[in-house]
Amino acid sequence: MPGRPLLRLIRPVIALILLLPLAAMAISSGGQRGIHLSLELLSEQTALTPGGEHWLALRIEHDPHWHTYWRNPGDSGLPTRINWQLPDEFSAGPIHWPFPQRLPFGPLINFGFEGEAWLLTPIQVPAHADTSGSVTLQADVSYLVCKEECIPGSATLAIELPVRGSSAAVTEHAAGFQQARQRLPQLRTDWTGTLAVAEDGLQLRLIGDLPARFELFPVAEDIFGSQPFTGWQPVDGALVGSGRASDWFAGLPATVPMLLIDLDAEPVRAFQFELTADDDVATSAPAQSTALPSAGGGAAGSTDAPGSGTSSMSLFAALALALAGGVILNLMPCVFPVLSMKALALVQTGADQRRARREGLFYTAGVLASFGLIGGLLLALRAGGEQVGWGFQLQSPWLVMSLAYLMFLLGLGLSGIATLGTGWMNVGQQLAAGQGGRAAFFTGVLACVVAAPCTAPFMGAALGYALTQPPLAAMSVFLALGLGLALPLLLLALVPVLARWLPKPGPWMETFKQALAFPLYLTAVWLLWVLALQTGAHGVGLALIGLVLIALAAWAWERAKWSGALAGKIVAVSAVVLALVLVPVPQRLAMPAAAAASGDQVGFWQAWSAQRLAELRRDGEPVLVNMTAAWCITCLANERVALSSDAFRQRLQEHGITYLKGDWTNQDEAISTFLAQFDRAGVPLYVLYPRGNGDAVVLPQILTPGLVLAALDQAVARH
Amino acid sequence: MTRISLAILSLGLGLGLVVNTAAVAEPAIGAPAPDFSLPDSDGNTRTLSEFAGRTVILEWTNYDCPFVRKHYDSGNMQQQQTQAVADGAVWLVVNSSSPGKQGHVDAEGARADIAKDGFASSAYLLDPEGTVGMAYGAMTTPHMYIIDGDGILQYKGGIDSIRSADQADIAKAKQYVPAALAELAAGQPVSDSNTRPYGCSVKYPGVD
Repeated sequence: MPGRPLLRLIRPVIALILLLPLAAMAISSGGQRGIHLSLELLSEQTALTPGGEHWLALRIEHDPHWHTYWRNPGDSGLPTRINWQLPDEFSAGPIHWPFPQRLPFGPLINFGFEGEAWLLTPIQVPAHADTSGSVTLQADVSYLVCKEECIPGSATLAIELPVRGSSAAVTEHAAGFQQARQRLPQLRTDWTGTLAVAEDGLQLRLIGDLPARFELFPVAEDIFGSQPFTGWQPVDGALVGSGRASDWFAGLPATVPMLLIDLDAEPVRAFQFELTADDDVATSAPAQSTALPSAGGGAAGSTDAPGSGTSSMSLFAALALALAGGVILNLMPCVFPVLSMKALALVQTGADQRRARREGLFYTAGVLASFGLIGGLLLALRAGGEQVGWGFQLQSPWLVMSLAYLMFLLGLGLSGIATLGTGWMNVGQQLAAGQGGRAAFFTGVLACVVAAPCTAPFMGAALGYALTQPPLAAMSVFLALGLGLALPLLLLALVPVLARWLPKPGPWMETFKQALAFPLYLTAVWLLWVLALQTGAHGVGLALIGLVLIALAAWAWERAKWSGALAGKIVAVSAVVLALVLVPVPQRLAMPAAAAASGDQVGFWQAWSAQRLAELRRDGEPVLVNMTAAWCITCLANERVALSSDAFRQRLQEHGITYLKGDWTNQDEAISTFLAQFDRAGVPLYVLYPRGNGDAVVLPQILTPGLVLAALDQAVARH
Repeated sequence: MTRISLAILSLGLGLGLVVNTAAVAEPAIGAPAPDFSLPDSDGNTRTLSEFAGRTVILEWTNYDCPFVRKHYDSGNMQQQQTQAVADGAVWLVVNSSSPGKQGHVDAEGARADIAKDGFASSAYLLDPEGTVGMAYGAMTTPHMYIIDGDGILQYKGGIDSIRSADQADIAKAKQYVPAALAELAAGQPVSDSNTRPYGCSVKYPGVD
């Protein structure tokens, strides 16, 4: 705080004066007697560490028969609130609530705590906190304590803790914190289910290896009433039961978090999982949903739901996934125009069945050969011990630049600036354009080259699988992927009926062809942008010069073709040679990954490194890892949609979750190794490490804002 | 009485929640509100049907509940009562605390409370058995209901939108009842017709 030196100077003095009346004990606020309860603020460690996360607990000791409330208080009551007063740049996460109990009062039921309750809160200490002094963490607590009558109360509790550079010792309360953590719900992503509006309430379908006896609580306030869920019956591998909608129920959100207490566990443990809204009105609501109460306010039931052991993918599943992934690749913007060109060619050969079939087969062969080649190359590199992954082609600036040339040139061809298929020098162009087996074969090759950046979401798993399998299995997966890519065009060629459905050739084809140029130009622009991130402005400048040279060559060549002038051809050839000479230059301008990514750094994330992650995990800190690359469209879409909103940033800060980004735009061995740990060979990869020592959760490759926020919430709720 | 003894019996068996769940079946918005017949603090018997043609507001109360205090000590409740009654509505305060429970009053106690706080309500109804409270699904004090002249329930829920016992929040909160009454008077549908009530639990007979 350079602007306020005086304040900085006198702040410790003020703190000291303020603290004089407080207990000198650094690890507790000292007990405070409220009405019908006692409150105390406790610290897990004797000191704070800069950049660390520090746990405080509000310990509530209720007088006998008095209670305070859970985050969802039930039919009446209010949850306890803590308003933290912290030094600058310190931040407090949300309360981590232990599981509650049902507190019946006549016909009404509340969710809350009796006896002793620990409400845990993480405090985030800024990385540059002054290690010579100490700070005061103050909690303004407001609560509602009830037995028969209710009494609202408030208390101000403060705790003074020194800030130390080295890690601190635990206090005598550490054991209490450990016990308290056992009462926090654990996130179960392998438990799922649906929730539907039924005639007499809400129908739940729970899927997962649920305990035999459990008690279920709604975490959100506005969905369910507080009465126990009833009528549990196993139906089709799920456990179906019903619950009453809250009296102010206004509709189902997309996901509804639930808390489940395993009554058979010793000590009792709680889990949190999510139900998704099912819009179809439940038709098989248990008839006697309100007539089957179960003992102890809980619910007994058994389930023969499928187990959660799906960690290793079978070869068959991998092949099927790869095949489907390949088919989806056809729709990718960088593949579709190329395919459309081929489809146009098929329309032209529409009258000739045999020729269409031959082209289809050649195309398939081209695709398979390319995938086989890439797969073989990957396997060879893997055998050589080099860590590579899918998309590695685009980590080389020279290849990005060449592809930009190619896309631009193909675009020019489609636009009619240059005529395609008549003796072009460009290999990809000449080989892929036009008709005949060779052109078909190389269109297949081209489709593979341009498909690489568009790795469809679930292809990552299949490729990761392939890279960790014996060569034969790996190659099968690659070929399945290729077959999927080739399939639509192959079908078109082989099945006469489909071919007949193709539109008749006509003048529209020229219009269509010209229109197809624009996606290609866009692809070129996107490649230039990737190049910008890899090499900066200089690289892009060179590439743009190269594109102008390509345009010059196309124009000169086309004119020379009509006029027959040799000068035109010389200009064209020189321009192309010059453009190609430029290609290797940006390679030398390639920037290290971290620098390449710094363009849009806003300070809410940090660069990933294996060391940084290990440090954070050693302290049990929650961490979100995002492995991304500039050429990965899925990654960019996710970042736009779900990973850059204010809500996302705010939630990270609230929960004290460190957000690490790894940039794989240029090749990075450490990141490749990290991906391999999760059976992946491509990005995006999102890994969320929960607070504590829990297992990492891999988020889906397509993110939604709600999904991310919910995952962040659960990461800090889990222990 | 049968329902209540049944409730106590089943609670004793640990099964009562379900039975009682059925007992707290509240009317739905847009449906006819259940009629009732209760003594008021002056010894008269009051029914819902006697006010047919007029808008009726029901307010569940419990004198010492901090959430009720929030709205009486600040004058918010009396002001809303005054306005509603001046506009021709009937404002009925209902107390469903059972004998021996916190907040229970007899007719004399109710009159004392009315005098102490300057209630501007039309009548104070005594519901010690909790039957009317359960028929309406009243869960908290305060818990508010608005029934239109046709006997249709138009609003149920909280007194306002900020759930706290802090008087300072009243000015910041949306006061649901006056807002709903204004909309009804203008012939419009009530925009917030079903809100989450907050407050102390209604002290129905049963176990603690």
